[in-house]
Amino acid sequence: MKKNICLLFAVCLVLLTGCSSRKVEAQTWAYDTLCTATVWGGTDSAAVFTSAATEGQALLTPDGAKQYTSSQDGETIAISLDLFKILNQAGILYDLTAGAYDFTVAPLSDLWNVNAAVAPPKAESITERLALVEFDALTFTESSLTFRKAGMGIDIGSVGKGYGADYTVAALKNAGAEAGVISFGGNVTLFGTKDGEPFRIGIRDPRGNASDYLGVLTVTDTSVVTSGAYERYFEYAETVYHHLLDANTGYPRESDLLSVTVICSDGAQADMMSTALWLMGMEDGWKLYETLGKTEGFLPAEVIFVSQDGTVRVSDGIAPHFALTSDDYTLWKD
Amino acid sequence: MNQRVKIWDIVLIAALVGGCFLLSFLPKEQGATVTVSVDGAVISVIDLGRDTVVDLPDGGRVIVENRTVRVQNASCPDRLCEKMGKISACGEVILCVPNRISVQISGEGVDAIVG
Ligand SMILES: [Zn+2]
Repeated sequence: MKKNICLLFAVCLVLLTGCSSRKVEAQTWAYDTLCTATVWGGTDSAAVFTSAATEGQALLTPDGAKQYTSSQDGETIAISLDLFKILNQAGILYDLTAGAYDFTVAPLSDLWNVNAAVAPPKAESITERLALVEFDALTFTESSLTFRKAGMGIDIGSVGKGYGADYTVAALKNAGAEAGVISFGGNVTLFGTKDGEPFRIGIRDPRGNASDYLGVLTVTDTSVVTSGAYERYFEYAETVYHHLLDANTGYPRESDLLSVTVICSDGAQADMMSTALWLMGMEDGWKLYETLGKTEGFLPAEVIFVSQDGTVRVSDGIAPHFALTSDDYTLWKD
Repeated sequence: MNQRVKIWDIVLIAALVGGCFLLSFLPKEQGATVTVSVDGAVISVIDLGRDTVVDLPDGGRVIVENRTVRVQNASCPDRLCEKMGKISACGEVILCVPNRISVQISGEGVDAIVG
């Protein structure tokens, strides 16, 4: 009897307080992409969001750009503790992907410039740049980073958006925000609830338009980051060249995966992981996912793998919160 | 006592049905999902368009069929959840008060698309 009254009371409370805090929408550009926010509550949430988006980026590279390139042999730069943590994880991913994922891919991604390119670079240029890509040629401490050779660099393309979204969430919470959906170019960080419910996040259909999704994830207080070749690419002589480069060959990596989504409380880790897992493909990527679950320095994460053949493989921890909604895909079975 | 429990169940369900009735006028969109919770914890989220059966810890089952949802084999004494029959509109809820089970249809698109 008592239980029922309590429940009825709770239901009424939810219905009455459903629309209590003020909703603010904001958008800005950072990390080479559009960053949007829907925030409930807080003081000056729109202004807090836009300034935090720029601030976060400046903690990853000295000039707050997407890349940093050294100008002399043995150059040392000051780094943030956050970048130190990222470099540690990047080093582990470099080892576990046998060098395919390389945080020092900057000279190559700069050469390819997939965002603006109309044709692939010359083979000789690629070979030349490959000599400058080697994670092991970096040395770093909690506050400094040294490049062995001039022309070497770091590229925050595979971490910045996840990191940046997280960074703005911390700032928004500090300013009293209660809930929010933050998207940095399709990398989403969520906090709080909407009318007492978790958020509904669509997982983009890699073969569809930007507004098509293949499934719905019901989550909050986490980051959700997806990597896939469909995000950025160009076509030349009937060949598709995308932005996910294999640092060993210098060319876009072939993968049997359409996309990899990582769900993790740490956006930077989710961002890096989604890139590395995509590079490894359906089978080796899943093995890498399982290995990372037992690797010190990596937080627990859940994943959704979408393969070229339309199979969707979901890790056990997130499966109850994921609903496949497209008939073009089928769930993976053991 | 038993009689009063039933009355409160009916009041509660009537309140929810009333709210849901209003919500049901909202347009249906792609990706409507069914959320099954036990004691407040989500045990399953299913696409409304995908015929499925979800087993409940009390031995009952949630059946999603032809974009409708119903509870079958309920173990609760009143079996009101089963008697509610099928729900199909966004915002509609089936509640099993004795076993603290809720089955709710959510829709109205998504809050964000990742990727
Ligand atoms: Zn019942």
